Amino acid sequence: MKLLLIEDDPLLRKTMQPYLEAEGYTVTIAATVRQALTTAYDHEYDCVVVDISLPDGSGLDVVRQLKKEQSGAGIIIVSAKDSLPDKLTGLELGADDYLTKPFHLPELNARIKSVLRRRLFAGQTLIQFGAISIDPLTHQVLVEKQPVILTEKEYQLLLFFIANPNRLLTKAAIAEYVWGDHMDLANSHDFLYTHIKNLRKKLLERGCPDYLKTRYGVGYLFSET
Amino acid sequence: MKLLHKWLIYLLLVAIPVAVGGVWVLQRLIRDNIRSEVDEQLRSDLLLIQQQAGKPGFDLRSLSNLRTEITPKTDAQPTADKPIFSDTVAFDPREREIVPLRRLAVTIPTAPGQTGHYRVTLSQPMGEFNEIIQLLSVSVTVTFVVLLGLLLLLNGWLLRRLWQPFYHLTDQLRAYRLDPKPAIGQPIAPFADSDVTEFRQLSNALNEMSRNLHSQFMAQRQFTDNAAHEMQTPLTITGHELDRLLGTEPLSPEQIETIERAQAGIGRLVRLNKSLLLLTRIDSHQFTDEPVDLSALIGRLVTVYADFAEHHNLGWAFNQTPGVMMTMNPFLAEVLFSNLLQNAIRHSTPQTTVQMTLAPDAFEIQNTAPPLPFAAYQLFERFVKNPAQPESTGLGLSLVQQIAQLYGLEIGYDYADGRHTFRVVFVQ
Repeated sequence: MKLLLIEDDPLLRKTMQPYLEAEGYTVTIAATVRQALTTAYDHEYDCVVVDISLPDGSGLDVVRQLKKEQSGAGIIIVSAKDSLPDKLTGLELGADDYLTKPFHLPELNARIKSVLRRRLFAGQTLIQFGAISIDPLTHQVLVEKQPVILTEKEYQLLLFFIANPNRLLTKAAIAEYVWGDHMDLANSHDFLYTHIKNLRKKLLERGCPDYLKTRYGVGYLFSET
Repeated sequence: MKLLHKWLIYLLLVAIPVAVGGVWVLQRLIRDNIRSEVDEQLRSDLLLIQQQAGKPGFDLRSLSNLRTEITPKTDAQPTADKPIFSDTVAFDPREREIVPLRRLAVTIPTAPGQTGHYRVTLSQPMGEFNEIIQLLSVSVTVTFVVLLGLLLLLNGWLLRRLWQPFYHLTDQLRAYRLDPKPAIGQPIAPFADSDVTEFRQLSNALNEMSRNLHSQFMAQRQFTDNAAHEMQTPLTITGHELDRLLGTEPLSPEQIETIERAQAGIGRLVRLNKSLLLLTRIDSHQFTDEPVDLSALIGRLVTVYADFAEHHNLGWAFNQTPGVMMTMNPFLAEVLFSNLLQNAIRHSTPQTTVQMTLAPDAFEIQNTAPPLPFAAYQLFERFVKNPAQPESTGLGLSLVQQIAQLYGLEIGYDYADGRHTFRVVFVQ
């Protein structure tokens, strides 16, 4: 999978690039609108992650140009501005998702995966992880071909875990992905723990191996081994 | 007090003493003039008598009449031959009343060869003249008053007309709103020009002020935007690096604790930054409004927070009225109500019930908790928070108040019998 990362801050690129490469993407970097447009013109990308504020213009121009060239790439806008009009403009231009800084890398990863799934397989594919398979269209979860009834939040949790296997997921990252703007309360106390405990219980009841491990009490690790 | 009224008062304050004094002076002047004329007349009459009396064969009766009285005197030499004028009164038999008189009394010598002298008294009734004086004074006063009245009317009308551009400017000022994005065709300096120099100066000054305000406002907004960008990126990097550090092996419990504390600090900084930016954006009116279905919005938030309430062992009851609408920004509406709900969950005593009621004209949320650890008036102030909850930003209720103020909503707070009540009244 080829991914174009358009971000002007070198430090932020340094944290994002290795993370995405570890996820198996071939990452190309662009720091300006000009660079981004030339690179995108020369190569085909599966997904473009673009920052709105760039030194020589707006990331929205890149989105506009990509759409004009009828690029098939999924587009995720990353912005420091938590403003609704910006978000609406971005989505109207044809971006697939909009992420506000500061974000957690596992969240970006989950969103990229979801965009790619929609783009490349039109959402028709089942998500597989060990004994678990998920139909992203109907939100149906099967363990060993048996349906598991999950609440919406539990479903979101499972999706997030499966999108980020073998990685430490901090409680803050999980809470933000599942509860979004209302995470302030989720982050506190052991609210998150209750929901994860219920999810794990439901999966184990269907004979699913225990993929979920807590790590030092600061986060969770989802892995087959 | 209107300028016109003030001007009127000053004018009357000056005009009345001038009118009264003027009438008095005028009366004196006319009276003195008439008197000197009368005196002159009497003098010339006297001269005639003196000439007649000096001739031989002078007959007293030929000259005596109602106003002239000549009496022969046989005393020695005349005591004085200087005429003496005096004001006196006498009974006028024709008018049958006492009338004022001007009288000249003098002693003149008789014709040569005769002994003695004549005592001459000349009188001139002044009644008619006094009437003339009064008539003159009254007509002058009346003319003055009529002229003054006309002047006032004319000036009032003129003032209203002349000050028209001024009233227009004040109307414009009252409607003036600092808009970061003026509508197309609407100038930043909207105050109309005038052909009167003073008003042109005023309108130029106002336009300049408007431009200055606008550029300052834009600079502030630019700063806000920049602050958002410039702070969010380093915060993102720090968060990513701390996450990565936490993923490395092996870590001692102390190291993990250190990283966790740093992450908690970053988390607080992120929330603070977001809330402060939101407050700034509300201050500078950066939101557009549309009709919001409050019933649907609050209903959704109540469902979202039901999980949290359950986790805190709280009862969660909502009495709702469908179809409550209000014109406001949907995002701000969500911030307003979700902060009230979060506040109730965060501070409630476990095993109690949070009671929410949406009426057509108000939203009320009631929860059970210990009394406030600070004075009630500080409740909505920024960074005032319960010392028992240091992780709270202390900005939630400030946001609530700021949004309420923006839309002219009334926020009420009450504490009775261990129940805290927040009430938002929709007065649109």
